[in-house]
Amino acid sequence: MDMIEFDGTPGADLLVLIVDGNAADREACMRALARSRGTRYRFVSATDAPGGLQAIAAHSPDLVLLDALLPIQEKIAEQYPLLPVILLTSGDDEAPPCLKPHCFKTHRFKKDDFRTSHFRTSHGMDTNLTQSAISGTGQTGTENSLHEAIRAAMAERRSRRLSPQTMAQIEALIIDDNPLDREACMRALRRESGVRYHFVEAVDEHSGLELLAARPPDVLLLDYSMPCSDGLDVLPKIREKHPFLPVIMLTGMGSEALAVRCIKAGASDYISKSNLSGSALHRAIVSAIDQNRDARTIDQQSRTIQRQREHLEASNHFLHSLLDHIPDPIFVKNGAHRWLMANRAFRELVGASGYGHSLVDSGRSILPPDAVETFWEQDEAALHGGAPLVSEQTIADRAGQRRLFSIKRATFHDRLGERVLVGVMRDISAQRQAEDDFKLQAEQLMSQSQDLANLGAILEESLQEIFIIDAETLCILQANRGARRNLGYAQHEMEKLHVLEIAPQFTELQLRKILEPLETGESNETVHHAAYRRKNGSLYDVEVHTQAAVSNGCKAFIQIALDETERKRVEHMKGEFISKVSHELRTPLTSIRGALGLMQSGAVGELPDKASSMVRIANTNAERLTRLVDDILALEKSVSGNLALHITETSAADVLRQTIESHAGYAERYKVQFVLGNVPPEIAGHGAVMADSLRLTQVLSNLMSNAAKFSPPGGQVIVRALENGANMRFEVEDRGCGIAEDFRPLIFEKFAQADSSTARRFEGTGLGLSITKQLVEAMGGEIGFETEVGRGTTFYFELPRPAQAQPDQDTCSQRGHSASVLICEDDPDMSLIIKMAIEQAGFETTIVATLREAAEKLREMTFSAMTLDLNLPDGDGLEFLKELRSQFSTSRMPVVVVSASAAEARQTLTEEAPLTDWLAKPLDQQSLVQSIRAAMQRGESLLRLLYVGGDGNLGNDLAHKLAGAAQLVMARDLADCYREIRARHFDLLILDPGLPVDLRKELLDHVGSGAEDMPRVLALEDADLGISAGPQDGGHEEASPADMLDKVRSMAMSELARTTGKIQ
Amino acid sequence: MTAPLTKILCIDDDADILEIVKVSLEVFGGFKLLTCLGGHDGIRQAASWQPDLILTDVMMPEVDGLATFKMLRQNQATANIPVVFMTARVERSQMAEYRALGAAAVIQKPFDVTKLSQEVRNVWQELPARNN
Repeated sequence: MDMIEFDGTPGADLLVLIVDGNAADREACMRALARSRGTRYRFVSATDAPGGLQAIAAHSPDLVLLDALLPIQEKIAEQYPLLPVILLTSGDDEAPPCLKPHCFKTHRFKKDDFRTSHFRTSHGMDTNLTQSAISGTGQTGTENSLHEAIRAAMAERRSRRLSPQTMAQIEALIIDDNPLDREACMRALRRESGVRYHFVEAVDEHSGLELLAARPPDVLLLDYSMPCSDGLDVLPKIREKHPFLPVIMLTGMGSEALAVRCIKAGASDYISKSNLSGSALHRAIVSAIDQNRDARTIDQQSRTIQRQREHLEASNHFLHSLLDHIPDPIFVKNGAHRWLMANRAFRELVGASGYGHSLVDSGRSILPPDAVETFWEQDEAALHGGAPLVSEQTIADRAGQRRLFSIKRATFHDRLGERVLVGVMRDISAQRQAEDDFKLQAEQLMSQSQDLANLGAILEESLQEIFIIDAETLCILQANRGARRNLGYAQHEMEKLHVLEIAPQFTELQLRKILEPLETGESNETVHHAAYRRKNGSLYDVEVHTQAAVSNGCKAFIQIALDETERKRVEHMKGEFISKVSHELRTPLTSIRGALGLMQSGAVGELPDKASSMVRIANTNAERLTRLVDDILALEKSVSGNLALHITETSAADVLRQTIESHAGYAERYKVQFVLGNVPPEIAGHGAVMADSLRLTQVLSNLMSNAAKFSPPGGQVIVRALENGANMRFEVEDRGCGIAEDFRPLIFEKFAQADSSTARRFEGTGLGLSITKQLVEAMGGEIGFETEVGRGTTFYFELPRPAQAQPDQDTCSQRGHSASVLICEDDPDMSLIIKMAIEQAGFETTIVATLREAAEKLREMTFSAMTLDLNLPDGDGLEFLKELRSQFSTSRMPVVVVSASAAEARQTLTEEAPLTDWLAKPLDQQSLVQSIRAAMQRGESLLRLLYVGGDGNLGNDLAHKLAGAAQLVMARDLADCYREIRARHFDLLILDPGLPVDLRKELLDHVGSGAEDMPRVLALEDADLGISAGPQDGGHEEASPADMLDKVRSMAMSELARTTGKIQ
Repeated sequence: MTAPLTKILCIDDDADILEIVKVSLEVFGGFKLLTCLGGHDGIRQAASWQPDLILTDVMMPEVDGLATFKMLRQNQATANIPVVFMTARVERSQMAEYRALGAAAVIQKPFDVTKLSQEVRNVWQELPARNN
């Protein structure tokens, strides 16, 4: 029987046959055993006696659990004497007696114990079993009891088999062709006492092998020499299938050599038939059986070991595969720092191969030298610390790449109690790199934001006003402290403001126009001037620099506003100072020049020649100093814009002629001749230029004296005027030395005289050309020169000609840029607003704060219009307005009343309609400009009357009377009259009754001889005015002024209506 | 026909200028000169001496040229004496202003001593209304 030995070691298999008709009992058995530890039970079952026998034959179970009621116990014992059988009894069944003394001991097991969980000694049960069952585990569990019973049975069987003497029967197969020999063997063995032999006979190899296959005997007696084969041939075939079968070779001849051959071929023993004795044969048989049993046992044990080794190897392989497939390096060391194991990741890291031994062999050197020490220290710490330890270490990998690892080390005790260290490493290089990068970025960001914060703080603290403005909405996004402080707004107020709220003089359109170059990218920065309005409404001048920028992803403007208040104040002071100094210098100069002049003239006695010469030098230089003072003052005025210009239509030819005339002395002095060249014809619409005649004369004078100085004696200076499109071009040409090339760029600079480069020293201040340029530009013109060294120089300048008579001639264009508006307003901020608005519209402005100043200014110069506040510190604006209207010179001047009480005031002056407009505060700038323009236009479109002669009283009254219907200009005498007529068109001339008859006649002749567009003339007689007598002291007091004026007015109107049809 | 110009009163706060004007007008014009240092003195002398023409500086301490002029006009004795301003201020506006106030002329300082008397004579001759 080929059965697996049961030795109770873990992993052993036992095949158990359960023969029981009761399914519940079968299952109970299986359950009980399945739970037992250490032994793996397999089960086959049968339900009745025949089935049980068949199952034994088919499955060769290691053990049979047999229902005691089934009558096959004896049969099994006969057929399978070594098969342990445990009888399962129920209740107090008596076990059937064991019939044969040699029968294998049968154990009993009480089925109730499955249910009661109490082990009770069965009747007739072996005491050993009982003891082992009870003492084995100390447990009373049924399953364990059954398991213990099985263990006991198996142990008993083993012990039985280990001793052939105890075998009840030896089954022997005899293969011998000789029946006598067979009989002899049997006879000899039967004589042996104690052992019962059971013989099976075969006559040849073939039948013998068949019998052997059908039922293996305990021993085989094989004849060596048989007819067809000999034992040595047969033996290997038998060994092939039955390696552990005891085979005893029987031979008739017998020799030592044969015996050796037989043993070598696998025989257990060799017996010669010739001296066959029963005892010897028996001994041989028993010895062979023992021997082969031991061999089988050893074989089985080695197989078990092999299996276990394979199992272990499989486990090891699994473990290593598992570890090798973990991407993190893992290592295992023992307490003596010997490498026990390392997974593939670790080996690849350090470049080692092998699992354990190679690592062990290479010892600590497997790690890079610089890592060894730290690694060892950490291992040591983990080994002695007990608790898991985490550390970081940089280790260079095989490629030399330094990698940072986080290493977790833990220790445990193996089964032998030795401390084992296991380390798991994780490459955190990338992670650390990322962390470091992040940290770096964070630090950079912090640093940048710190920089930004610093910058922000600087901007915030800057004294300049800095704004960030949304380019889309023009709302202020941010404003620094300087801006908030200057404007008086809190931060939260500031950030809601629209730019126009602080720059009220602009419309959005105007501002966008200013900023347009930034939008188009045409320019990086724009600069404009503005008056910013504080929260309290006051205004201050600023120069605003704007740049395009991006703020929070939106297009924005950054504006820096520089407060110009101080600069303007300083400029003003400078101007005042220069003006004052100039005036102060004049007084001593007057004395010096006077004294010298008197001495030089001989008025105070004749001087010796030398003294006379000295006095002449002193006098010349005193004159020069005077001119210098004049020029400085003039320049200061023109630069600072304080130059008052009175631009009118001026005859170019007249100015040229007069200038030449007045420079006759000059020409004589320098021995040059001023020649009048081409002048434009003075016919309607030609020959005139828009200029301040005095300044124009000054310009020409400067250029002419300059030309004279640089002309050779006897040279000519040609002065001419040419119409050049919309401009009049004046030229002053000399035949002098010309201007050296390197001096040309400096020609209009102050104090630039080419003294050093020319042999001749010229008198002059060096300011003349600079002033000239300023004057020309102030009049809206341009100046330049053409020069050729040795041939001469031509200075030229161009000034605008009067706009040609166009159907809708507008006030502004007609008056050019010189149209000037007087602003009478005591609130400086308000006046600035008005100023801005008006200047924006292209007019010049003059600001006065009091009525007295206004009166002064109005006396000084002519204004195209004025704005008037009604509540002024030194009087009532309305009274002033009435007075203005009563004055001849201002009766026709458009006045825009700007007052909070404009509406009420208006009611009181109903007759003021056409030339006065009324605007309420707060002021709308657009309306202001419109109002002024409209008023001017009305003034311009009025009929023009020229009043000639008289003392002005009647003229003034009449002008007042005509206000709104006609414009009346006053001419004091005929010269005035002629000048006015030349300058512009008049619809009617009114001659004062006081105008002498001869003058009337002259005038009428003049007018009558002129062109068709000469005005009609209304000659007033005393009678018209209701004056009967000649002129008397006291004027016209006797007549009713109102009646008189009405009469004159109606006369004038009817005359106009008759001639022009212009009166509606 | 124009009455001859003989007596000229000159008012200034600067004695040097007074001296120069006096010499200039006496030597070149043959006029009789009376000079007064300041407006008060000028007004007083004008009333008593009855000059044909008064030359007065504009910028003077205490009583300036304009005040002097107004006071002269207010006094019956001097109301009709033509007054010529002499000024170092060159603004045209001011010249116009003085003329508008009724000044016979404005002579600019500094002046040419050799031509001053002729200038004064021209002014005198251009005062037709008074001499009609």
